[in-house]
Amino acid sequence: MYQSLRRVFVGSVIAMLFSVVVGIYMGTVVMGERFFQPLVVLGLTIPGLMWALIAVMLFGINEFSPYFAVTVTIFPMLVINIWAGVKSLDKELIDMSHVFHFTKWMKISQVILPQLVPNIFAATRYGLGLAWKVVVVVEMFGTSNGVGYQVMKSYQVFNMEGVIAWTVTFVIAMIVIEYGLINLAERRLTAWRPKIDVWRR
Amino acid sequence: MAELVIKDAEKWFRREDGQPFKIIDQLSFEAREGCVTVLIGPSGCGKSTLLNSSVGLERLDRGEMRFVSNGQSQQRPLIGYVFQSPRLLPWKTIGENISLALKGAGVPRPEWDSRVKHYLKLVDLEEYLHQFPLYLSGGQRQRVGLARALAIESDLVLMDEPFASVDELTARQLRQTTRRLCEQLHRTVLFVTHNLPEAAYMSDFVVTLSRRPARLDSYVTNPLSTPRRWGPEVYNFAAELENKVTLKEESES
Repeated sequence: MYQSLRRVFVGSVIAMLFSVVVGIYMGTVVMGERFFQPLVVLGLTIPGLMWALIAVMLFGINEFSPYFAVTVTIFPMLVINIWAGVKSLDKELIDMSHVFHFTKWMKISQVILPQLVPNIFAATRYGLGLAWKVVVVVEMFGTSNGVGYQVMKSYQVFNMEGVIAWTVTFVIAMIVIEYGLINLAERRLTAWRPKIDVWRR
Repeated sequence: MAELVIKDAEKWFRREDGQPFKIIDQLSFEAREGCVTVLIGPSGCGKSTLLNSSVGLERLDRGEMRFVSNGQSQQRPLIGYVFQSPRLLPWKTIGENISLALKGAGVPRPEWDSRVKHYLKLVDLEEYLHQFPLYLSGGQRQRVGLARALAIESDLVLMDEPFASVDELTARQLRQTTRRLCEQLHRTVLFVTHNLPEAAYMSDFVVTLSRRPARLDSYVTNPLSTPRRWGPEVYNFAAELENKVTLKEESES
């Protein structure tokens, strides 16, 4: 389990880092948008399973394969979210930062990134789900440990309990990550928002 | 101390069909040192464009805009700006919002706390230091915007219809606070408004602009005494200003 978690985490973090940079670049520089848009659209059309196969065939049975497969599978989807977020940034706040002589780094860290938080969280949730699926596939035929490998091993001896047990473990891990990690981080990072009660009477 | 000198300013925009149109035409005036110069004119005549040009958000097509501080021209000086909406970062507390402006202005870190508290006290918001902007009323947020513009202690402060988005009672309080601070701190202020009593109350000098393209109509010295008080004389001067604008428009038509 630990190995699978590590693969999902490392692959997702690498994809996230690249996608934040590329997404901001696409949203702010016209040339960047023209260059990356076709690549991102192309990337979205390639299923994660293909990347899993390509990674194992290219890099063999080692740790790099799942990292690569996760990164390239979720990267286009993360970029699309962040790019859309950058396009809807509040121009007035950016103008304000210019007027008050914010440095480039201050503009990115204090004005742009906080506005992208909802997009980053939406992308993370979707990306993590996808990353798990890719990691499981890679582990099924490209590693000798991890949830995917265990499921495959159980399947080969027709051990239904084993397959279900690993699937349930997998679901529990996802729930823990969602409620214990992502929800907590999101609540912390959006504490500045007053609570909205739509159905208040 | 600094003054802003605008000379033969010209600005063009393009319509959706690509046709250019002139918004500012041969405009020259100056915002004098330590005084509040109020810019009034019809909607869409380029007042905000002029302010935006002075902080680098727009660029004039012709003419010049000089900042003269202690007799020397400055390229891109530090300018305090009070926007029509407060433009505070909602994910930062009030104190952090002002501190970021101080950081941008290059104020040494050890001074931030005292300066933030000092200016929040001037606008009567010192107890809101650790609050997030969305928990404050519109008028309070606008006062934070004012504190931020003043806290960087720039020689020049621009205000673009800063009280247009709040109700009249709050606006009146904000005008009084702002005018009092301008008198106390002797900053050079260029203040844009549509509101004639506001122009009469806030100004030391009033610049009236024509309809688009904006040209200088008149440059009026405010006869009211300081410290300023909100009373009938403000409305009398506002009526004078109104006559000036209306007579000019009638003679043009």
